[in-house]
Amino acid sequence: MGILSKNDIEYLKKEFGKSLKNSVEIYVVFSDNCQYCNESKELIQEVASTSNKIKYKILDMNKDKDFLRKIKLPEGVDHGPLLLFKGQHGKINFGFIGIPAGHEFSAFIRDIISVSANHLHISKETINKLSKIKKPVDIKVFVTPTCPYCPSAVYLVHQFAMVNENINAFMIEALEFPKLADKYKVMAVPKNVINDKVEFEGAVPEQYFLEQLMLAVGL
Amino acid sequence: MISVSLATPPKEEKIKEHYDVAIIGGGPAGCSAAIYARRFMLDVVIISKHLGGLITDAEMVDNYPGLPEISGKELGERFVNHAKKYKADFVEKFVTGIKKVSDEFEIKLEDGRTIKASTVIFATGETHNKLGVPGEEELTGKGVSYCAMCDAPLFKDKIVAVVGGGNTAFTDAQLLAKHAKKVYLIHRRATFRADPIEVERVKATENIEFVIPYVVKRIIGENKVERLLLRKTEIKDGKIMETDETMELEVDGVFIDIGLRPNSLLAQDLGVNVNERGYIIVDEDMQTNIQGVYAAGDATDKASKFRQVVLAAAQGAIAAFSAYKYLKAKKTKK
Ligand SMILES: Cc1cc2nc3c(=O)[nH]c(=O)nc-3n(C[C@H](O)[C@H](O)[C@H](O)COP(=O)(O)OP(=O)(O)OC[C@H]3O[C@@H](n4cnc5c(N)ncnc54)[C@H](O)[C@@H]3O)c2cc1C
Repeated sequence: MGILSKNDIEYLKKEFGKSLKNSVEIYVVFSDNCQYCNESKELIQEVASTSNKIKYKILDMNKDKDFLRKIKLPEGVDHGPLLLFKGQHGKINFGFIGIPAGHEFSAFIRDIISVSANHLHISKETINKLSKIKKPVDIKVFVTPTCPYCPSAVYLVHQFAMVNENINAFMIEALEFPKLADKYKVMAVPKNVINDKVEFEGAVPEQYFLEQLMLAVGL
Repeated sequence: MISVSLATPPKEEKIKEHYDVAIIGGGPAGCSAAIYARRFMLDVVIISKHLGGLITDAEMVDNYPGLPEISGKELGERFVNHAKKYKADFVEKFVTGIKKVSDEFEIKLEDGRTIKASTVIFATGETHNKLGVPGEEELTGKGVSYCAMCDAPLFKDKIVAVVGGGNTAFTDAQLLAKHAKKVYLIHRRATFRADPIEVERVKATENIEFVIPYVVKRIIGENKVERLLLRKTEIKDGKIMETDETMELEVDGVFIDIGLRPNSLLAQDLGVNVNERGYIIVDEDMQTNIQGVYAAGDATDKASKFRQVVLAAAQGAIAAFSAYKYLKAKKTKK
């Protein structure tokens, strides 16, 4: 028995058949002490089986340390699963820390479509402003799988990361990463943290998030 | 076991400049309106944050005819996918403004774009009420929560309170009891609006304790919720009165379930009439006081006493039919 239902698979085949253009590269990182690595493996296999445009590589957190060092992952991520995307710009700078299950699965699917079709869902003004950022930005969005409002927050920051490779944006599943959730005092989701400086809760409008981001980078 | 959810909106927001019908809100009422409007061959756009609407907050829905025991998440997705099948356009943005320009409507989105439409259907639903006590704003997200589904697992082995006496408070208390060490259920009366079956279930749950009849006066804490200040109430001449008796309760979190209020400010900006509680006033055709403007679902005065998916869907269908009739009549006049 797989994770996706027959209907889900049919739906994805149809949707991906229509909307995927370029191939998408996803890096799936496993480790020891990993609650959902097996499920994540199944999930990526099933998703990738629905379109030949979805390529994935499986990495090991320990063995592939050197490769992973180049990615600006949040500090304190000490186990998998990680599902990381290479953006349209060719850099791996956004993704999921913890399994993108529950509501989060929809953000995962939308990321695939957005990267592959090279289509962004944010306004031209936002893209303009984001493109100008030269300093590294680190965005974390904490979620739980039962939060219906979280995927739109995650998708938004992933869109930001697709615009500019200096912007690193990761979903963190709070229940799989309790140490990080504690460190950032996550008591409500989605919780957004930018550069460890600006933080706020909620799936906020694009404009508001952009303003907070600009504040955090001092622009 | 893990599960996945598939509410993917269409990949591209190819927005047209003008639509026959713009539906604000993508919950049951909005999606149903879109399905019907498309069947009448109208150009339709649904503009909505959080597609699927409030029903996605429900763990289980067991009263939508024909679909027994469906999760709220899945029911919401089905509504959205059904509207997608009929090729309604979707724009997943907040609407920040709306105005009438000659006999058209200009709808302003959060990202600055505008969409024009000949008719508008408000299917904007409701949002959670706030307690309105000191500490609530400041500690929102720091222990004050309005979504138990989202945040309950973050309170594992902690002490939490739920405020309210309706079904949502009672189901939230049960959900929280699975994660938290202790759950207090605070209500300003000693009787409850919640269905008797939910009350029985809560009474049978060991780690839920009733704190009644009390009102919350203040939420206290430095950077997170630490305590609640409560005041005991009594009934005098049928009215709830506060007594002099206060007490403090140590909690890590407080979930507020004291009902909902309509999202009708946008409609009001346009000049749409609302009742004394803010619900959009519609006639039996879901027509508001402004020509070409309709409303459906939980945001309307027709639903304000019985807010259910089945009603929202029905009203959406009626609103779409009314918009169709209006547009047809307008065309033949020209
Ligand atoms: C916990 C819970 C359990 C429930 N259980 C049941 C049940 O078992 N059975 C049942 O029948 N009903 C149930 N309900 C009630 C049901 O959810 C509602 O009756 C139904 O969702 C109403 O549909 P609607 O389309 O009118 O509004 P909503 O579902 O509230 O949808 C409104 C939509 O409009 C959007 N919106 C609002 N303003 C704007 C704006 N300015 N710009 C963009 N978008 C906007 C919102 O984001 C939302 O997506 C439950 C509700 C809750 C909270």
